[in-house]
Amino acid sequence: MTVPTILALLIVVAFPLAFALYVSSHDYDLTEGGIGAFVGVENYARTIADELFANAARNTAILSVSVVALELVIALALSLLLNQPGLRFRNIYLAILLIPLLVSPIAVGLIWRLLLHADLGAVNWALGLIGLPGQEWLSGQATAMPAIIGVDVWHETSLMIVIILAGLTALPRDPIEAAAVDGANRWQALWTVTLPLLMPVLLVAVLIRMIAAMKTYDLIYILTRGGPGSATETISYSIWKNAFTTLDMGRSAAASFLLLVVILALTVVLVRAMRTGADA
Amino acid sequence: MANTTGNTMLRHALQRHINRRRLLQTSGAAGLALGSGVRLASGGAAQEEITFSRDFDGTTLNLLMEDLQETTIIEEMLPEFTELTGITVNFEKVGYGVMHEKLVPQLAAGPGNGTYDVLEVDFYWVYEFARSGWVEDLGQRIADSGGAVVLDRYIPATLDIVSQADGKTWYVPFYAYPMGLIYRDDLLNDEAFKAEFNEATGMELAIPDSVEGYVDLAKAITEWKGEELYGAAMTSQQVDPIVMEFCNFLYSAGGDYYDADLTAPTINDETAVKAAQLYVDCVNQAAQPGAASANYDDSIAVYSQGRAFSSVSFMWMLSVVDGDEEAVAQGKNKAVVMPGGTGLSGAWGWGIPVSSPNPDAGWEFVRWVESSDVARRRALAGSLPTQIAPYEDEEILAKYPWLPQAGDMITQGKGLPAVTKQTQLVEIVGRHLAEAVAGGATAQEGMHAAAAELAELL
Repeated sequence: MTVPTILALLIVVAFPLAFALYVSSHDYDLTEGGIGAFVGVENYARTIADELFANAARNTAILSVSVVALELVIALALSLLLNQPGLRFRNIYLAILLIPLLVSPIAVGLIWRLLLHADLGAVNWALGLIGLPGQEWLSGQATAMPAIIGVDVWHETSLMIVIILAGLTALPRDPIEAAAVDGANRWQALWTVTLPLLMPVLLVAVLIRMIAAMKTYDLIYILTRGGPGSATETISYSIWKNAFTTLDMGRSAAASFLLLVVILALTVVLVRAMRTGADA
Repeated sequence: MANTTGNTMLRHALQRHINRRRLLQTSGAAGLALGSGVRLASGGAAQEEITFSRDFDGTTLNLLMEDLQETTIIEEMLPEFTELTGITVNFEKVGYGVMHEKLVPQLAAGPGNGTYDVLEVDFYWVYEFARSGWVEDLGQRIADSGGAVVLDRYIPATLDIVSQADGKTWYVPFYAYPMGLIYRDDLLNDEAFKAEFNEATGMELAIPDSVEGYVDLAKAITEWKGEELYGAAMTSQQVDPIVMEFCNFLYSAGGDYYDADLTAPTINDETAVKAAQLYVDCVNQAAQPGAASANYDDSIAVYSQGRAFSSVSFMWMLSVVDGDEEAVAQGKNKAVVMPGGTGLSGAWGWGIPVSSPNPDAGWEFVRWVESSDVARRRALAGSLPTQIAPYEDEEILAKYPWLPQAGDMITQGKGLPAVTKQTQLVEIVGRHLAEAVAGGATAQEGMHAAAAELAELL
């Protein structure tokens, strides 16, 4: 069993990665034929020195941190509400809350593109009802990134709810009940007992979402194409753009590896957190 | 690299000059005049009887096609090609946005290793595909085509835009999509409306003859009517639509992306910056809300609903609006060349990829689809032709009375500069222009930044 497994891993994972690493260290412009000369780390150096890539890295950090923080707070609050003993219609609430998770990112992008439409969108219409001016959500320098963050939060909070609610359900009841017997009110029990016990689960949820958020591409493609200008361009979108507009595969591969390094680091933290959670 | 490209461009510019001279000579000889008087050139030699080979009976051809009316028109005619040749043709129909990224890996796959047998090539992939060695030089195939493909039958401007590069013929033009000014002719001829407009703005309601005049008119209408009627329905989504639209402002204002010899960017010279400022003003002061992120569906919806006086757009938009039974604007429109005189002229061409598994059968398809009879029937079904004959065909002209204006747009229009990476040019300009529209940079700052990046493409 071991040999076929190793072979499968080599074919599916190792070979593409090794090839991409090889490409990243060579001059490889598709318009100039096959893979060219070995250039060492030049593609990496050029990528790191590129202002557009730095901008994309900043945007990726802003987007990832914002969506994960917002999703964590919202998902935790909703999960605590759903976890209340004796809550009626819990499954119905849960089913409704999970609907966004079932929609593909492309469909989410298209739906929100319509909702955020400056002229015909429901969001501006609703703002108008309360006397607020409509916004150019997807084309405004100041509004495009918040709009994408909002859409991502709408889409991905469900995943956090699933993870956190599972964690809450699995928590031992004894410490919480003991806190109540000792006179702790709900907030005190939450801060001093529930959240510390839940921390490994929260960490796993945050890391899983952070890794996914750092790879955000589809929402950007559908909603803003990285614009206006490069205000919403993320690293993943930038890699795609460079691969298929400049056709410079060497630099695109180098940028992909830089992103991979960051994601691998997060993954290591995630695995350790999961082990710690399991041990606890 | 820059010198080589510059010399190449010089040769290409010379070729363009020769083509234009040939256009005037031949059209003068034929005595043909269409629309406002711009001539398309003569139709060339008499048609020989075309025969098609059955040597490829049982072959299946795969083509990646944009999902639009032209594709449907050809698709509906495919059974007769299969009957003639025994060749089956599969169209993989996709949105324009994903075509380039689907094609590139296939084209780079090496001889015979690709998926697609025939290419549908947009006008701004022409140099990239040809100079990368991804497509066949079609010169010999055309010479041996038995009269099925005769370049003299085509509007010379379409050969410049989507067929010839670096002195060779790489593609056969098959569908033109020029841009121009589409406007509400009913309002333009409504005396009461004109009088009200004059009273409110102090301006005469007439089609202007300059970009500046057009932007002033569009702004005045929007300021006057507000949400009821915008001066312009615009399509300024980053990246492709905003650049396609801007080309009309740039070219008609007398600007360009590079100098004539293709040695330096001119997108940041005084003329180009002024064109960019006019464009930014038009989006922000004359167009519908959300124009800066609008795609073609958005702008066509605004125009169809009767909420815009005009739109700088592709000629196919006119067909969409006039063909929409529910459109308020149906049948109330006309189209003219972009005020200022030079719009963007786009076109699609057929090419045979080096990676084609069935290049000869693929060429048989091109011979058939570009034969005069098939080209005529495609035009009759609503395709905007690249061949001259349909523009002189009474039955087609009766059905599509705007065809002469489309001919004017094609002959007076211009494509993109002949740099290898035109797709990258579009991305660079689109990004900086969108930033200027959003107020993140001035038009001048945006065009200076674009020029610095465009210089890298030479």
